[in-house]
Amino acid sequence: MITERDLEAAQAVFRRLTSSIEEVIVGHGDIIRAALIALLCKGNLILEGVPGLGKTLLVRTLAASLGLKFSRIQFTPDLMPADIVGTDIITEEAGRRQFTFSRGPVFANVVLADEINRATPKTQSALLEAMEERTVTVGVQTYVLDEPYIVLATQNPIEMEGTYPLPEAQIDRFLLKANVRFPSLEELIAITVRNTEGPGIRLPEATATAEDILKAREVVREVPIAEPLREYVARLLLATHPNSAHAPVRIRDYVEYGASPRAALALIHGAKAHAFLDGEVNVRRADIRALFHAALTHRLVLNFKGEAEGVSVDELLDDVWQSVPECA
Amino acid sequence: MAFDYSRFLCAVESRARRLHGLSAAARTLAVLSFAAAAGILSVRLLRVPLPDWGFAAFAVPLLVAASTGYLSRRSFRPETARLLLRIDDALDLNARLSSLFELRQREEISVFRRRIESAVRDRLAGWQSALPIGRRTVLEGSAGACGLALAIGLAFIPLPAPSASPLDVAGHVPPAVQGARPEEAGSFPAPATEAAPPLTVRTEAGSVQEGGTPTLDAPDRDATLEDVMRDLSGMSPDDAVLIPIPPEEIEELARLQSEAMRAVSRLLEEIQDRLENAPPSEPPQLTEQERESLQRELDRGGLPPELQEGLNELMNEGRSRSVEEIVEQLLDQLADEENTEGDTTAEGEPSLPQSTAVAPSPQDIEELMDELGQSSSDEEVDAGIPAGPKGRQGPSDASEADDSTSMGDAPGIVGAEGEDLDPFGGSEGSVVPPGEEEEREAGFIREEERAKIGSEGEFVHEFVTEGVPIEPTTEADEEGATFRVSYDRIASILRERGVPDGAIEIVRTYFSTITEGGS
Repeated sequence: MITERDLEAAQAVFRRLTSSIEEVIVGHGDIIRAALIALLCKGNLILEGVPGLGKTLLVRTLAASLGLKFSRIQFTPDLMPADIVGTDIITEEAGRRQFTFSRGPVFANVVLADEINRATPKTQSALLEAMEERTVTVGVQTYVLDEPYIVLATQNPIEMEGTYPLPEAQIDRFLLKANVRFPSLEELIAITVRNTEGPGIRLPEATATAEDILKAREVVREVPIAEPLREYVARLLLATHPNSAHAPVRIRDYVEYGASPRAALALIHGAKAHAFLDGEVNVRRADIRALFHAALTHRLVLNFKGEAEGVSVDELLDDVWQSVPECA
Repeated sequence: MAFDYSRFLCAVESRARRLHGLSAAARTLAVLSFAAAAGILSVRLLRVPLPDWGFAAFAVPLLVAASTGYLSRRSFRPETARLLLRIDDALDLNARLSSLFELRQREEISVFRRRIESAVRDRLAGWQSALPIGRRTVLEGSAGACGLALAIGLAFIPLPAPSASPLDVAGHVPPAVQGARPEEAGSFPAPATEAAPPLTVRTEAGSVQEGGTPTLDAPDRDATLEDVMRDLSGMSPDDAVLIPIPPEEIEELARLQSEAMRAVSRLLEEIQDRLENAPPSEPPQLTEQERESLQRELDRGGLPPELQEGLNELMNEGRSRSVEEIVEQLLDQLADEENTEGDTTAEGEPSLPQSTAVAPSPQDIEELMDELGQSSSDEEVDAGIPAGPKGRQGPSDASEADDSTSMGDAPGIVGAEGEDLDPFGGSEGSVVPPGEEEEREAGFIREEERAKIGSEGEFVHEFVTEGVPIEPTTEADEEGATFRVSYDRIASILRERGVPDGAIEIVRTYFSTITEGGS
C-alpha cells in the first residue's frame, strides 16, 4: 500500500537525482529522463550516438548519483562471454584446490555496455539473461543479480564496418532507445567551460540509495492508467504491424516486423514512470506521446525496400501516431 | 464537502444514455419519416381511398419506432471510461477522471485516488459541455423533422389532378349521338380532329344539414371537373353523404312540373283561340287577365327554363316576333315536353332519372372504349376522303342502313327543314330507327349544325353543363328528338378515376336534378 509519504519521498528522491545529474551533464535532459525511466521500470536503455557526446559520462554520473556499484564493459570483437559473466577459476584454500566462480562485470547495479554492437552475437547474448531475468547462469549454477540492476548500452551509428548489429531478440530487451543528439551551441560552450576550467568534471555524491529506487519502483507500478489509454496504446502497437488493418500505408510498405507486446509493456510502464517523474499521479496522453518513439523505434524491423530507400523509423512512427485516433 | 464520484458517474451515464437514445430516435425518425412521406405520396398519387385517419396511420408507426429506438438505445450501458476520457479532454483534466474510474474499479482507496479526487473536485463545473448533442444527431434530427413536415405536407397539400382520360375529350361523342337530330348535333363540339376545350361542370357537393340528412343543393360556384373528381375521390362508399334523393321526392317534383306545364298549355291554347277569333281590327295583344294568369303560372314554378323564357317574352310581347308566333312556339315546346314524358313513361321509365341507376359494368366500359378507338381510327382513315356518300344518300335497304353507321358515313344528318346540310351530299339523310341505334359504331359529327332548340343552340349550355356527355333518347322522332345525360359514360369516367360507386350515384342524382330529368 502506497502512502502519501511514500509517494512524496519517492518523487523527492528522483527530483534530487535528476538535478544532481544535470549538474554534471550539460543538456541531454531527455536522455537523463530516459535513463531514470529505465531505472524505475526495471528496464535497460540503449543509447545511440556518435562518439564523444557524453554517453559514458552520463552512465557514470547516474551510477554515482545512485551510489550503486558500477561496471563498464568495452565490447570488442574478441570479447568472450566469460569476460562478461565471469568464469570458474581454480583456487587453493587450505591446501585444497577447487573451482571458484569469479564474477564478471555484469555483476553490478549499473552496467555500461559500451559499443555493444562491436562484440560478436555470442558475447552480446551473454547479456540477455542478465538484462531480462536479472540472473546469470554459469554451468549449472545460477546467480541472482542485485537490484536495482540496469544495463545501459551504447552503440555507434557510424563506423558500422566490423560491427554486429544486435539481433531482434536482444534489442527487444531494451526498454527504451535514446538517440544522443549533438549538443547545441550553448550546451557546447557550457561543456567546454565545465571541462576546461576549475576542478573539471567531478562525479556527484550519492543522493539516493538502492532502497529508494526499489520503493520508487513500487510507487510507479501503482500509478493508474485509464482503460481507454491502455487500449489506445494497444491500437498504436497494432498499427505498427504491416498486416494490421489499421496500419498506415508506409508501415505496410516498409516494415517487415512490427513492435512486440513487450513494446506495449514498455510504453505503458514507461508512461507511468514519466508521469511519476513529472509529479503526476496518473498516466496522461502526453506521457504516452513522450515515450512513443523511445519505446518503439528500436523494435520495428524494416524490410528490404525500407532499408534500400533509407526510410526513417521515426517518420514511420509519426505516421502511426497520426493515423491512430486518440479515442475510438 | 467530499467529492461524490459515484453521483458524478451516474449523472454522466444518464446523460450519455439520453444522448444515445436521442441519436437512435433521430436516426430512426430520419429514415422512417422519408419512408412515410414516400408512402403518403404514393397513396395520394395512386388515389388509394383512405379514411380520415389513414394518414395518421403513417405517423403512429413513425413515432412508435422513434420511441422504441430511443428506449432501446438508452438501455445500453455506455462505456463510462471512454466518456470520462472525453470529459477529461474537454476540461483539460489530463485523464484524471478516467484514471479515477480505473482506481474505483479496483476498489482501492490509495493516495493516487485521493490526489486525483482533490485535483478534479473543483474543476467539474460545466462537464455537460463535454458531452454535447452530437452534430450527427442534430443533422439526423433535422432530417427527421424535415421528413415529418414533408409527410404532413404531402398528406394535406392538394396535388395536381391526373390528365384527362380519352373519354373526357368532348369530341368523342358516343355512337348513339349519331342518330340525334341536327338540332341536338348542332350543340355538340366540333369534330374530333379539333382540339376540344377542357370539360367543365357546374356542380356542388352534397351538404349535410343540421339534422344530419344530406341534401343536394343548387350549384353556387364554378368548379372544374377535376375539382369534382378530387372531391369525390376523397369520399368513401361508406360516407353518409351519399344517401340518394328519395324516389317519392323525385316523383313529386315530376308531378308538379307536369301540372304546371298542363296549366300553361291550357292557358296558351285559350290565348291562341281568342287571337284566332278576334276581329282583324283588334291588335294581337294579351289581355290584362291573360297576363296575370301567365305571371301566376310563372310564379308557381316548375316550368323548364326555356318555357319560362318564352312566357316572359310573351308577356313582354316580343319585339321581334308577334304574339301569335310566340304562342305557337310555346305550344310546340309544350307538346314536345309532353311527348317526351309520354315516351319515357310508356317505356316504364320515370321522367326523372332515378338515383338508383345501375352503373355500367366493366365490359360495357371496354366495349365503349373499343368503339371509341375504332371510330377514331376510322376517322383518321377517312380524313382525306369525301365523307360518307352512302350514308348521305340514305339507306335504301337494311344493309345500307347498317353501313351508314361507320364514321365516315354519318347517318344522314339533315337540317331543320329537311335540307341536306352535308356539303358532300346525302340528300335523303336517314333517320335511323331507334332499335338500330345501339348497333351503331362510335363516330363524330363532322358538320356544324344549326340549332333548333334554343335561339343560338345554347340549349346544352343552359340545361346540361357543357362537357357533360349526353345521348339521345331512343324515342327520337321527326318532330323533336330529345336527349339526356349519358349516365353510363359519366359512370365509366368516374369509375376510371377511382370514384366509388356511391359517389357516382351522387353525381347522377346531381345532374338529374339540375337538368330536370336530363332532357
